[in-house]
Formats: sequence, structure tokens, C-alpha cells
Amino acid sequence: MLLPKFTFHEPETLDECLSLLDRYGSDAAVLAGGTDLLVNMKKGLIRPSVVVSLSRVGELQGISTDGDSGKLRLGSMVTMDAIATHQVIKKHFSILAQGAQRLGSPLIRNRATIGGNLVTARPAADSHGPLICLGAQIELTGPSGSRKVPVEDFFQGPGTSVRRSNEVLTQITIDKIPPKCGGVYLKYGIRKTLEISVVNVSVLLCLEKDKTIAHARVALGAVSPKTIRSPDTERCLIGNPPDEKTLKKAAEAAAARCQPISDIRGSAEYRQILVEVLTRRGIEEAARRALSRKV
Amino acid sequence: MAQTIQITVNGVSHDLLVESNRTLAQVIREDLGLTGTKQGCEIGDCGVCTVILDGKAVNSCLVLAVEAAGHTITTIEGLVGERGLHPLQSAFVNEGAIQCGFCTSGMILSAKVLLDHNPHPTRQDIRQGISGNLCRCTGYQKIVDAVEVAAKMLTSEKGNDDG
Repeated sequence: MLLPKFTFHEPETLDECLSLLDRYGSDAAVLAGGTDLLVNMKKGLIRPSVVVSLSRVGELQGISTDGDSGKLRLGSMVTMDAIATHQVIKKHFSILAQGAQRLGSPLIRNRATIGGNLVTARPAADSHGPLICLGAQIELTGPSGSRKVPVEDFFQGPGTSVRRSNEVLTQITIDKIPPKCGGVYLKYGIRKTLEISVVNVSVLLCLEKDKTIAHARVALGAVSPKTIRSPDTERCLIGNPPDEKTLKKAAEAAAARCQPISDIRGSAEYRQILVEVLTRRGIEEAARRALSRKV
Repeated sequence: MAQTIQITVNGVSHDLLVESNRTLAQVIREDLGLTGTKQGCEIGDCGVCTVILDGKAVNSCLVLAVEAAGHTITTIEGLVGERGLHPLQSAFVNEGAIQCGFCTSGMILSAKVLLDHNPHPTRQDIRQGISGNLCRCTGYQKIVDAVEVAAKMLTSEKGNDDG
């Protein structure tokens, strides 16, 4: 399987990169980890005449946390393996490490990047639900400067986002999660590796001292054109303890409001049932983690 | 568009003129003649093209050769040392972990990276470590056995060297 011919650029600075994208516009494809782009090029699904690689742009690398605020910054070229194995992320933003750990295979995770996983905007992507639960902000930089977009507003539909062709996704920032919060990413697939979710559910809960739920975010993947929040589920949770009655109501709300499609991986009816089951398990597990302080 | 790249493969530096649309897998096999690296699905699903790039196991079918410029690569040919086969290689032979052999190079390189980071893996760790490498012959049991045996050989070797 051969790649079509293209002109290759590997800028070393963000400025150089932006001027290349400005010059070539939509003729240029941006190469991050290559685990989607090169596959699509080999299959002949896309034929960009120019490929601009981000791998040597220093500004896009690195994971850092702000000492005082605890804010996490991820360069867009950080690999999924780096996220899945990073000690601070595993401890304080574990829902994101869980999502990253479920992407592709170890070989894919060593190349696939967080920026790439966002820009490819697949409805079943493993990082989207965790990032939505964490309230992540996405920074896009273009010729006239940078703008920040909440991750929820970034996706438009399968394969499309608000990124313009002359913009680079530069970094992702996440505010520190308060104590007594717990997060969980549940992915249902036929196998454990190299699998695209039939359904995935992300849940982040924060508990009050008396164990009522103070804050809840629930995101559902692979059930709509993009990963969505379930406000009905969140409303059922907030102000209530994670008891049997709340769990049942919240899980039913998640299933009732989502409208999945039938495809090769599962029927709409099956997905709806999975949403209910996984949401319920997710809430239970997130509450358990909140009590043992595992974000 | 051809460009000159320098890559270090199995400790040897190479200066090569490559087209930008050629993958690392193609260059390793065709330009360097190191055919231990296989090409299978060519879209990152099967793992037969696995090489170690700067200490990480990757699908070389999804890395452009030009992206590898300046980096260090180990292929299956690079595992043979002065004392002969690497413990993983001999364990695969002795434990019957090789049938058709097409997955073996990639499987061993993924296992090598696993053992570099985790010298005492559980069977579950081993399964996860090689989960990007498909084998259609063995049913994996003997591969997991071989990696376990190699892990024991490597830790006892290290113990002897230290002692």
C-alpha cells in the first residue's frame, strides 16, 4: 500500500508552520502522529499535495502543571502513551489517562497525539469524553493570533471541527479538579485493543461532605455525530446522593435522550441499552473513586 | 521530492536519499536490506512492521522515513549480540512461539520494550505489551510463555553480571 506523492515540510517553529498553512490553505494536510492521516492517504481517501509535519515544532511538545494553580497544559503533539503513563495525569486527571490508555494499541499510542485525536474529530474517539468532563480548553493559533475554545464547542460532526485550515491546535489546558472528585472512562467494544467504541461513557463526579453530588459531568461517545454531554443525567445527579434511586433515574435519562445510529459495530437499540448500563456503572465507579480521591 | 536524511539503525549511521512519501518500513527493507521487518496490513493494525524508535515500539508503516531523520532505530537484526541470539529470540525458538514466523520480529521487539520497562511482567502485562501485534498461528499462549522465560533469563543474567 503506497502513499501518493506529496511535498513535505517540517517546520521547526510555530511561526514557520503557520506561514506554510497560510500559503497552502486546504491543499495542505497537517501531520501529527500519522496514525489516521497516513492511513487515509494510503487508502486514497485524501490526497493532499502538501504535508506539513508538526513533529519538529518545539512549542507543541511537553506536559506541564502550574505549581500554584495545578492547571495542566498538554502540548498538542504529546502522545497518548505519554498521557496514559504520566504520573501527575494518572493521579490528578486519571479519567484522561484512562481514555488515553484505551486508544488503539501500545504501538499506536506511541505515535498518536492528543491534538490529532481532537482534530480528526471521530465520534467514538477515546479522549473526547474525558476532556469534556474535565472542561478542557483548546487553544487554536492562526496568523492573527490565538483563540481558546471549550472542548465541547470544538467538534462540529464526524471529522469536522471549528479549526480553520490556517490554524494549528497548539495546546490543551485543564483546570485542577477539586478534592473529593472521581472520574471514570468506560469503553465498550468487542475486544480490548485496536477497537473502536461501540459506546463509551465518561463520568466525573464531585461529592459534598455528606456525600451528595455537588458537581457532575457525563459524556457519551459513539452515540451521536460527536461526543455529547448528557445534561439530563447531570441534573438527575446534582444535589442527590449516589444511591439506587438516583443511579436508576440518571442512567435512564442518559439512554432516553441519546439517538444513536445502527452500524457495523452495533444497532441503535443495543447502543441505547449500553448507554444505560455503562452510565450506571460509570456513576457508581466515579462515586467510589471520589470517596478514595481518584480523579 | 527526495531529501537526504540521516538515521541510526542498529547502531550504524546511514545517510540516505529518500522520497517523502516512503515509509520507514519501506526504507528499512528496500534501502537497507533489513528484511526482518515485515509489511502486512500497512495501516497500523497488525504490528509486523514494529521497530523500536528512540526506545518506543512503533508501527514503521505509519512513520515517514523523513520523520525518522536524526532518530535512532532498532530492528530485529539489531538484537543479536556478541553472545548470539537475544534471550527473547532464543526463548521464542525454544518455547515453540514461532510457527509461520511472520509476526515474530514485531512480537519480539514489542516484548523487548516491555521488558526494558517492566523486567518482571505478569502474564496480563505481557498480553497488554504485545496487544498491538497479531499472531494468526499460535493462539498466543506459547508467545506469552516465551516472553516469561526470556524475562527470567534476562533478570538472572543481570543478577550474574551485577554479582
